[in-house]
Amino acid sequence: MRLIVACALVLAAGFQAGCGEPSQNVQYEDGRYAGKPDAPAWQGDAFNGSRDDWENEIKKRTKLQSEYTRLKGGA
Amino acid sequence: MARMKFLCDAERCIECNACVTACKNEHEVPWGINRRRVVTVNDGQVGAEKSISVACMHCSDAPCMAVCPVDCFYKTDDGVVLHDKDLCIGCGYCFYACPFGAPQFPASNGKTPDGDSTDWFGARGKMDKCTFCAGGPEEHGSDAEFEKYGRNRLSEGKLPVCAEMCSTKALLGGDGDVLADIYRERVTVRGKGSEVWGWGTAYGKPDQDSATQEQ
Repeated sequence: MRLIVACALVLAAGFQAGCGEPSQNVQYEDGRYAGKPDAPAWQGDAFNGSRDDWENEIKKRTKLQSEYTRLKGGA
Repeated sequence: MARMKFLCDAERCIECNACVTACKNEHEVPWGINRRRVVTVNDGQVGAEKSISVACMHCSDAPCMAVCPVDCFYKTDDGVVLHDKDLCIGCGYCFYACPFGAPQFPASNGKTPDGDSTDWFGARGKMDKCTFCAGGPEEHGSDAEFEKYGRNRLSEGKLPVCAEMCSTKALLGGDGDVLADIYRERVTVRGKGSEVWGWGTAYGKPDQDSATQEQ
């Protein structure tokens, strides 16, 4: 009798475990860049490390892509 | 801080493929590899045909970066997604992850020490993609950078050659905020609804012309 009860308890526990809903969301771990370091664009010879000059030049050229801006006489 | 983006205006793109050609020429991209291409939908259907120039869109949350098993991707301070070809293993995961089909895989051109080609069965080489004309992790303007990644126009204060070459200025490249301003102005000028595209917009309204002639 004890054996039957024990088996029933084990089976019940097994069924319970089978009906559980553990989280299946994958825990992503962000990778980190593993390659060589790259210098920022403004570190080249053209701008000698002046980020402001580089950003102004890029912004100016970007604005000049609009013909409405060009018609008005520039960026 | 600039946040570099491309924007292609489908109302202006005339499928001339100048962007594709300019890119291939500027970076001396190998035969069979296109960092940029023009996609046309509804081909041949009058009024419904649209073309758009597509390359790496330098996603803010780039899926290629997320799936790369060797973490060879990085993003510059300006939002340009680049990768280190010395680290890339050519697995192709990024190609499956990219919604734009941007990653390209040239033949490896590898050679064994005795000079034999290692391109057996069309072995894939390291991934190649649009760099926003920003080169890669080599010294700016160096031969090594050009050989692996193409020209670095951004460090010269220039924009991607595809955008600067575009004759109709359908393809715009640069700081996303400025591009948004340009596009907003265009849309405002164009109007809305059926005025946005079609014969009337390109050549004038037929009704107005005939009315003018009758007078």
